[in-house]
Amino acid sequence: MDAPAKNTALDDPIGRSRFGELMLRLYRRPAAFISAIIVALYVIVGLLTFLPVFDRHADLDGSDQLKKDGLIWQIVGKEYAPPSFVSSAAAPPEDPELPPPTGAAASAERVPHGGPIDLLLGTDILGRSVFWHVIYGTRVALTIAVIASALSLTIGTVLGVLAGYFGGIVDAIIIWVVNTVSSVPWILLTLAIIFVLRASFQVAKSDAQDAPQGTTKAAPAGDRDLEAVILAMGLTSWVGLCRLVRGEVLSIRERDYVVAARAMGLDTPRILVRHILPNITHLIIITFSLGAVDFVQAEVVLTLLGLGISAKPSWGRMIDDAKLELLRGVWWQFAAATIAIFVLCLALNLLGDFLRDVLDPRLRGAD
Amino acid sequence: MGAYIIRRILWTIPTVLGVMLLTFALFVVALPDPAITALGKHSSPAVRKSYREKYGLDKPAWLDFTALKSGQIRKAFDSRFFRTLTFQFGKSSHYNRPVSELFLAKAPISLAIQGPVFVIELGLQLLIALYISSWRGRWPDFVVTLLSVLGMSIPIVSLYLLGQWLFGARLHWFPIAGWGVGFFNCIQYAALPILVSVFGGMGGGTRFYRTVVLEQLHSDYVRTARSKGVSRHDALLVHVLRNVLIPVLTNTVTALPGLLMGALVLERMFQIPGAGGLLVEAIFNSDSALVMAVTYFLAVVYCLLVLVTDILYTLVDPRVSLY
Amino acid sequence: MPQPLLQIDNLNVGFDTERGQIRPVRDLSLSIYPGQTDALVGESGCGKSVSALSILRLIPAPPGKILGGRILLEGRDLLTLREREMRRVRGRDIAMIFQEPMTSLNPVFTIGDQIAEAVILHQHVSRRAALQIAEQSLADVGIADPDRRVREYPHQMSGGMRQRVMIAMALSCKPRLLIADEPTTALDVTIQAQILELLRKLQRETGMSILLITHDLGVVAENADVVGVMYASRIAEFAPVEALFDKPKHPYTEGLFRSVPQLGALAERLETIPGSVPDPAKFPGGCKFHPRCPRTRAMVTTAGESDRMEVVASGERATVMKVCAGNEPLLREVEPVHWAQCHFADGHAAAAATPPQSNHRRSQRPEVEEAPTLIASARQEYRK
Repeated sequence: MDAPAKNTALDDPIGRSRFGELMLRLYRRPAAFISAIIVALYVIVGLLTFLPVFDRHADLDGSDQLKKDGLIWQIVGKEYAPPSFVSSAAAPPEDPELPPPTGAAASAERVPHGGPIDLLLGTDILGRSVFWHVIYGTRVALTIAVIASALSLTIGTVLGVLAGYFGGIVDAIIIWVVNTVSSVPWILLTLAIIFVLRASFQVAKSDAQDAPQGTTKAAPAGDRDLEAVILAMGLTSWVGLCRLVRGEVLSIRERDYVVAARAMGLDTPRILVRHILPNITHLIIITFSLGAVDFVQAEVVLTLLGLGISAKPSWGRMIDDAKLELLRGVWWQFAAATIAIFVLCLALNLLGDFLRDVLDPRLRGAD
Repeated sequence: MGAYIIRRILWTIPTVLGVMLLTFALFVVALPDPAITALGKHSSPAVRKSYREKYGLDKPAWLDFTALKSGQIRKAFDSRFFRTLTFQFGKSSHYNRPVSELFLAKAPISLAIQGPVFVIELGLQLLIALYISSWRGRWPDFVVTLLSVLGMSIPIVSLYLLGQWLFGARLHWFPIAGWGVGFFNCIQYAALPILVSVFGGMGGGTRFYRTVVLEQLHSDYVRTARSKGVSRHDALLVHVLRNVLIPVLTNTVTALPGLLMGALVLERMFQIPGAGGLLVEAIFNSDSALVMAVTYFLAVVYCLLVLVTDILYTLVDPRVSLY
Repeated sequence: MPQPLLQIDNLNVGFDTERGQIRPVRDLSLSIYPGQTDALVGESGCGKSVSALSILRLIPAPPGKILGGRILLEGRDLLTLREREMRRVRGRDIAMIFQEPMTSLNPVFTIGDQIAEAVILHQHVSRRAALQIAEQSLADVGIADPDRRVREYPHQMSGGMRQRVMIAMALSCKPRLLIADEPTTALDVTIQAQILELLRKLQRETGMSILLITHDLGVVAENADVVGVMYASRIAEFAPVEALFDKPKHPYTEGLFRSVPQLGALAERLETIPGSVPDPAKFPGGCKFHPRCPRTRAMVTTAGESDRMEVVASGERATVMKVCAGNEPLLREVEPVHWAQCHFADGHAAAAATPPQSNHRRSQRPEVEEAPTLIASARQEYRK
């Protein structure tokens, strides 16, 4: 393997329009181009759910608490109605061996009928729209991906830059922390942090209950689940980026233009912002796009383990619910969530590969 | 080379200490008092005291300073920190049995699933990567690359569910879930989890090894070997494979935590009474002693595995002994 | 005339790329006689390395493909051999050394094992015996402490030593032809001279033939018996080394000589050939050299209007001879034992298009210092 070519002062990227070139290359690679559009669509859908038009609180017959918990999707039809594009003859017959779906009695008295969009992907055990569950699941998935990434990228970048730029004892300590954190398998650390957070939230909640009514308002349980998941993921996933950034900064700080900037007496923060940061943004972008896949998938795993999202509509919950439904022949909720995750992750993977190829060919092998 | 190994072993000590500190910070410093969590806020101090005594929570966290001052060295170090550091875990509050006993009873079941998964997966990944290298740019290469990316994108849980539904519910090839008694019975139950787990984990590794094999295959030393009269097959299996083992080792270390995740998910979905299920249950039961012990123990085991692979490098790559 | 050891007839090689098929080797004919050193000279990308790899049938396939021709090793066509038989030729009859000694050895095997591998393959001896042969061949190429070195790994050696190891490996099975693909390009100048000296010494001792592939005219002047100059996948000129340096017939060869720096001519500005080597995917029509050719531009001044035409060469308009832009000349024997592929080489029109071959040996082996003199005299000759 050839050593990467030694970069010289000519390589200072300031003033080079990398963004324009990136867009041009993106346009030339159809798979990556389509992926970018798909990711953008998911983001738009996720953002749209915040609009009042899509806010279906008004249709809810639930309590205030339910609204707060984000149980925003209403009962639109009879329980386990298949997707509207599947003919009713093709709907699976009731399996006599399995108990009838619970909750059927609760909603049997009045069967509200949603519009065609509500019934497009069928309904779940309570007769709620699978379509809207997928749509609102997008919001949770993207929230997790974006906030956990922000947390993890910030920690990783800051520690990586500090270690690489200052070296010495700072570097030694950060390396030790990185080694320590990466020695605990991340799922274990994530679970441990969730465990501790849940216990703390529980104590906080009982404190709040003890407090006189009205003085404090306990945060709804659903939000705290999300908080725990995001915090745990963000705090455990930064080590990879930290290592990459440290390595890159180590080489950048020896380059001529940084040495020159130091010789001219530029102060450290200015060097970091003007010369170091622009040179590691590509690492952050690549890590973000490929890391988002992990976050989306981890939500499903954590939720399945019963430690993820419990009170908000999420793709993980749909798949978790599908554990038994699938055996009953109810496939649409499972399929809808799986396809939603699959398409997003595929697009993110392809986009991440593209970004890695274009922005940093050294990160991949000979291909 | 000896110096390298010794240095590497010495490096492990601060890491293990760090892991201990991290675990301790989480479970002793950050975690709310388990006595309050378990007994409630309004429990009487006397009940809490006996609870703490029962689970060893009455011991000082770091060092018993009063004992240290009076010269009782042994007693001074009888703290929760040093007990955990030396693997003297307490009792599980839920099962009321020693943690180590619980864990050691369950761990073999998890290993019986994840061991075969690891071996089969690695073998298949390497085999496919080596095989398709001679088909570069043609359809088998394309199909494998495509399947790898598809496999990396599909949620692992969905894949497990599909496998359970297809092979268990529809085809009745395997039991859907559960665990048996006795070796052959257990194999029946283990087959499906192993199958879906191998299938689900193939993608990333295959793609990585494909890249690595292709990179090596086009290197100059392969051309040299071929010019000596070495066959394509031998060049692949002798020259390339030996060089590929270096990135394989690296990748294996990073893939190990994935097995742990597999254990957690598989054991829950297939109702296998292994250590993964034990951990998840312990979290539900707020069984802090158990969670902490499992976290610390597995982290230390992982540290040691990393150490072992680092030492294996010296066998695989002669250049390592230089630095 | 004795039989040539290796005779290449009309070899054509194609590479399939996204932009269609390119032809890195076209109509290559070449004969190498026992004990002779043939040089193939040319700029990078002219097809000389692909030619060498084609002889061993080691071009990466796909995308590479031998489209036609014959490669006769003592009358046996290598292109019709089965892969198994071909493997017995590689390393035993024909061995090869490469440009990059740093990466051409496998980093995870010892030097001894890598040499022994070839010995075991071709001589069917035990590993122990093979290692002894390996030790001996290391001693033959002038490596001190061969008994220690056989147990060492490539990273423990310098570049020059690794190239010696490569040579030891190539010669361990006493091949009759050694293909040396830029054997000294990656090495320091002093090491270059040592390696070439070693190759000459080993050739004297074993009587093997060498196909020397290089872009370095100094290396050619010192080592070659006969020289083929390659340009745009074809042989542009072929002659015994003295004849070529004395009286180059092809304008490209002349250009090469003028672009070589000369000792004692410090004030003189080095001439370069205008333009660049054509991309094999976009070869010009007619003579592949005409967009850069000074000769066709010179001929224009005396030619009639009907014989001239305007072309655009590397972004500039130029007037060239119509025949140059329209027809690709054949390689013809313009003088006895001197082939050139140029419409305006003296005697080209009347000469016969025969495959180039010559059992010529250089009269004396010039010492290292003489090489620049030879080039200098070629330059003098050209100016007259």
